Amino acid sequence: MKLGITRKIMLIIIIIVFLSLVGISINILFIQQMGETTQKLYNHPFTVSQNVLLADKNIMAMHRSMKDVVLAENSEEIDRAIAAVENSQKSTLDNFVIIKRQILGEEGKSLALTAEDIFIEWESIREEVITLYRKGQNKSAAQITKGKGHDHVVKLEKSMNKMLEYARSKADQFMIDASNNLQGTIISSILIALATLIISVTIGFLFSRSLSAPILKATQDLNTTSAQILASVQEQATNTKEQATSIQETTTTMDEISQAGKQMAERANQVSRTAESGNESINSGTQAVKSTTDTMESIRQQVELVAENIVSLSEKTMAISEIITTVNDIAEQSNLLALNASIEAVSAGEHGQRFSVVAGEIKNLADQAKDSTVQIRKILEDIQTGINTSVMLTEEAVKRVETGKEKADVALDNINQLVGTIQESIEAFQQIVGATNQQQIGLEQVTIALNNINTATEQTAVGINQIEAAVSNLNSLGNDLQKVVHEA
Amino acid sequence: MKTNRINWDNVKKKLKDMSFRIKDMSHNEENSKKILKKRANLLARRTAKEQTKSIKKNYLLVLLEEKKYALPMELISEIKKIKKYTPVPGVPEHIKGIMNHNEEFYVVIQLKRLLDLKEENCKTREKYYIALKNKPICFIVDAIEKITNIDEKTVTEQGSRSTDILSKYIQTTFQGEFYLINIEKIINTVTISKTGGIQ
Repeated sequence: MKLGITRKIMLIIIIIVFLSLVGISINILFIQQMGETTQKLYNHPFTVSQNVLLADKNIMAMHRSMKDVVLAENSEEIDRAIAAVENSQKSTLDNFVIIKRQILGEEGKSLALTAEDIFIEWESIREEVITLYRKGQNKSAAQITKGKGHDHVVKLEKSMNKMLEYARSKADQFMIDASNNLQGTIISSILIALATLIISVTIGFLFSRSLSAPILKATQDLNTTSAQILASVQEQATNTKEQATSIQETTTTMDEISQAGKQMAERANQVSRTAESGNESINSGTQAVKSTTDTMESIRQQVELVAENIVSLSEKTMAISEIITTVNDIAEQSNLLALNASIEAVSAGEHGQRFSVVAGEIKNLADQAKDSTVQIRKILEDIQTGINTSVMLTEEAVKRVETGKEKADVALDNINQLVGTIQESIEAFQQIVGATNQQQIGLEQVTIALNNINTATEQTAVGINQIEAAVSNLNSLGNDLQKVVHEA
Repeated sequence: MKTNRINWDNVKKKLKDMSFRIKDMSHNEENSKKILKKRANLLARRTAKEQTKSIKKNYLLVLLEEKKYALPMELISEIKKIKKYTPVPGVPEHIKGIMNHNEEFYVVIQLKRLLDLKEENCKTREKYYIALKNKPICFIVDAIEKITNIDEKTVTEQGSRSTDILSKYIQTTFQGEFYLINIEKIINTVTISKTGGIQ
């Protein structure tokens, strides 16, 4: 995918900003961790140490107040000392509450509870001392205070010291963690900065290359193109000179064409007139062909009538043939009757002789009739053959007449088409005449236009010289740009 | 191309002639009378002439496979067109069967078979039958040729010397034109019993 320069720059800025944001985010993360460590340091070791020291201070105050109790000379001093002890005890218990809440780890919790237990156990010793003292046993009270009381305070101090040590150790650990975090933050910041720098440099290098390469190519193309334009402009200058010469020749040729056009218009007029006279001849031809077609149709109708008559004759011949068959049957029956009559005549003997002669004659007549029927049948067959031939000839005649009519129709169509064509030719010639006239006008206008072109050509020559100079400047500019890109 | 022109005048003339001739040929009572009178005169002359001649016997000439055979007229009862007959089993081949002739049963004899003309060689069919007098027998023949007169003196018996079947029933031959069939012999070959049996 190809990107434009603006988009490339935008992309690089986005990448650098993204990397910076990543670096900043990582640093913020480290700083947050440091803050948390500091918070922890404040909340835990520092608070615990402070309260342990305060508790220790209160314990010391209580211990002094207990001494004050032992050394008190009246009840007022005792009460005042006891009140001081109780105040300190209350403050100490508050300190222990904070210590137990803030101290970290199981060990810390255990140390706090142990110290608190020891502190609570001390109260019974103190009360014993106060009770003894109130009973007036000052020495016993002083001994308990110096002995058991003092030991218990030492034990409490030790326990408090352990807790303090524990808090300090925690504080040291947090300090180390904070130091580590700080070091990590510094290293990561340096690494991110370096990575961002390397990536930015790389992208910048690639971008500059991707920018400079097309510019370089563009400048090279510009040089090539300007060189080509220069060559073309020079060629065009030469062509313009040749064009001016050609325009002169064209003007002369146009005059000649104008003359030829006039002659062509005259010839077209002549042809148009000839075509019109031909059109009249074709009209008379069309009438003749139409007349022929009508005659053909009339002949066809007549021939069809003849065919119908022949068919009628054929039917009548068939009827005659049937009659002849009947006559033949009659002849045969007559023959038989004559024969039987002869037989009867023979039976009659002498008396039947004359009858026998008559019967014989009847038989002869029947035979003649039969022979005649045979002859008639033969004639009828000949007639039928003749009729069949006539029917075929008539059919052929009808076909030929129809063919003739079709040909006449085709001829008529052809003539009509010819008429159309001639009409079109006449119109075409008339259009040619009109066009030729328009052509004359056009030629005159072309001559004027050529003169104008000649003038324009001269102006073009001047313009080309100016373009030549401009292209030379452009070429120099391209070379300069190329140098700049190379140097960059 | 050669074209045959029709001579219409000639055609018209021929048609006119034909028309007249057809008119002449149509029925005309006067014409018929003339013809009959002429024919009667002719007959009268011929009969007188014939009376002077010797006694002649009438024979009926029939055709069997285009050959002529003569049958004595005095033995013939009637000639008719052939009609359907009923075949009878167990009889000689020349007896084709029986038929009804004038309300009586007649035995049908095929003369061709009797005269040993093989059926497969026969080209023509029998169209008529000839019924005999006094005997219920009829012969089937191809055609009736004519009635002819033969002088009785010229008729001589051939006798029964020949063993040939054709010769057995042929009485004589007249100038090689036709054969005279001996009907009596044929009749004798057929025996009809009183119960109607045929042999």
